Amino acid sequence: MAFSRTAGVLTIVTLAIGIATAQDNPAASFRTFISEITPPGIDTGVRDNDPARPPRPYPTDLTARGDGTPYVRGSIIVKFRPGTANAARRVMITRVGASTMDAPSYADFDIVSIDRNADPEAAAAALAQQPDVEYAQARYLMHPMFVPNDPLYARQWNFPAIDMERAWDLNPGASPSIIVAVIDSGVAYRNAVLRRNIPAWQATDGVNEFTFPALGTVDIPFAAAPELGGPDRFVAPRDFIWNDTDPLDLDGHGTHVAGTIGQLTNNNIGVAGMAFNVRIMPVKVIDSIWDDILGSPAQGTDDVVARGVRYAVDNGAKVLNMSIGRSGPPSPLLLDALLYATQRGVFVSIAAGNDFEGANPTEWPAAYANQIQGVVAVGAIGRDRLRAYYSTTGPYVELAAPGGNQRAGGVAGGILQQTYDFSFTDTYVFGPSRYGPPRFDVFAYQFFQGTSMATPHVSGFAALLMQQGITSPAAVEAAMEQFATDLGPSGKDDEYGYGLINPRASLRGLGLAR
Amino acid sequence: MRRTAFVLAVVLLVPAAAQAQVTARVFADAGVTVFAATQSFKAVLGKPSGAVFGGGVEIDNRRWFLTLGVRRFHRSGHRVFVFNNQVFPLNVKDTITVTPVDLTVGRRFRWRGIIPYAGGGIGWHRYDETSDHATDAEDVSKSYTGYHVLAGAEKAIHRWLGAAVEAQWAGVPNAFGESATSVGQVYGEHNLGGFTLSGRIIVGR
Repeated sequence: MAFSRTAGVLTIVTLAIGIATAQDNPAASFRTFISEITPPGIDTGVRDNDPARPPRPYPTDLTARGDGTPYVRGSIIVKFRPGTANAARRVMITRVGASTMDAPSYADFDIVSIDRNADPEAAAAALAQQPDVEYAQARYLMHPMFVPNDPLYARQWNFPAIDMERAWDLNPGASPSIIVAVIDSGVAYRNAVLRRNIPAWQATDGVNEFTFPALGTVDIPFAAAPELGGPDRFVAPRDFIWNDTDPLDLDGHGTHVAGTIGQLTNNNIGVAGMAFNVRIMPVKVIDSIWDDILGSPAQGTDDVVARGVRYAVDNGAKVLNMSIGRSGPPSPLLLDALLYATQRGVFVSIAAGNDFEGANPTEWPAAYANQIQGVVAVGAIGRDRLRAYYSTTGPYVELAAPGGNQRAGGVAGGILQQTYDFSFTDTYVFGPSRYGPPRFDVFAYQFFQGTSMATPHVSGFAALLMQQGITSPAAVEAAMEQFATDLGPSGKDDEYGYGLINPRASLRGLGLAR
Repeated sequence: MRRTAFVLAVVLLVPAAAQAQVTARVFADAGVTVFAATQSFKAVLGKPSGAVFGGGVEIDNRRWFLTLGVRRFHRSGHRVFVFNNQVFPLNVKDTITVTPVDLTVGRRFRWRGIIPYAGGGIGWHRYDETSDHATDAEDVSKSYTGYHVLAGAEKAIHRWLGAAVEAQWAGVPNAFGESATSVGQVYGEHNLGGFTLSGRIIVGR
């Protein structure tokens, strides 16, 4: 029986893993790397003759490590008003049945432990009613924003679609002085061998339950994506899922996104990236299925993402790429984190969301974009320059960029970048009988689609603009919007925002007469 | 307009020529122009003014004069982006060349050994703008018609040599600022003219 890694189909139902709350000491790693010397990554080329893959599982499966709720149980997030005494804080949390409180790093909020059987949303609502509480919320889970692909054959139509060839004449790929943080599932940025015990786990496709056997202690090889460049390319890596400084990608999403931002270009190999001279800061805030199987201490909740944002800002990033999001209620701590970024001169681009054909829900943190100058929410277009079928619409969509539309354009209508060869990573896809340890050192060029893929175009574009001389994030946004190619109804609209990004026009700016 | 100016010059000069001998002189001048589109020029070139150099020919009968002069302003800066009145120079070189050709009719006076003069006329202002990596359609090479008034004073240095200082105001309305990629549109500035203060050396009797 084919076992698919499809949205809402594969649900990990039991994992004997405790979820830690705040982890402030990255040296206290939960993982053991036995070697940093491994063979270079293997490139298996363009996956253009494979049978079509089922859509990849986001957004719903990764929310399921607990019990299928869109938040984690056992803790909530609270921010007290400045000056609130510790004693008063303790009294307030006791009133809602909370016990302990933890102040995580890179945060201006606390994580409060509550009973695992308690409803986090109810507890947060009760706590929010207390005096001196600025906000309280459940720890909602974020997920990557992409609708994956069926790898058939290769072509990067996305760069000509936004006139990048001529834009690179004006600014050839920015420079290493610009750091772009990829706040995502990690990046394949280094070689290592992880020795880890892989326990048994269970999953369901909604009808049948599957038990995957324990694999015991195995060595899992990792390699840097060959086309992302050497170690000098990466700055201040940080993993908030494993609480260490090794944000290795166990999914492939972050690596694909990083490629669109900064894939090595003009080297006669592989594909191109928008801002191919920038440095990349991998900041892992999203857990994948393998993170869950291997027992990561944290998940991709709002608080983890907010900490990742603040970490990236504090460590020199000038552009943040957030190809992630969730629906549900707003998140004040994410709003605070975005303001923290823009007030310190950092531009943020966020995926608008992929659930148009669902309920087209408001997506967070994207929906904060039109409240903050210097933060943009990015919708996706296909090769036909029309909104992709999945691309969420709403008043917060400010720009559109190529994200791919494989329904209209076939497999090659996706965005091509190098990431893992999923034959070697998704070993659970074909069920327990063919299940085995993963390898994260084999790469392929894969077509993905999603607003996740559109967003790094804008991040790379922002890096080029900053290199070009526009240093304020609000001005970067204005330059993007002023020169965008209007699509859809005239003027700003809910599908395309101000329109399709036009990097060359923005990089060229204004002359005296023309 | 050119025809009008020519007729005006003839009408003024022919009676004068009937009374006095007409002479021709040549001149060279150098000065500074402060452009009327102050903010636009400042944004792109770093300052709203710059040096101009030129020369021309003058026909006069001691009371009336007709001059045909040409000046050239040439300066490089950067293309820009303007947001909330903050100018961000972009890493794209932009070069502006303005070449006015002026036809001026004026009246000369005599006062304590110097010759004050005043006049006015029309000008044809050649405007060229080029920037790095621009297409032909993106570069600009156009001419605009304007008007000017001027006043100055001349002092004879030698029998064949004179010196003068001159102040000129030129207006060249609606020359730029219509394009969506013009900084003139941001500031609402459209006038290519400006104020020029120059010194002049005149050769001729």
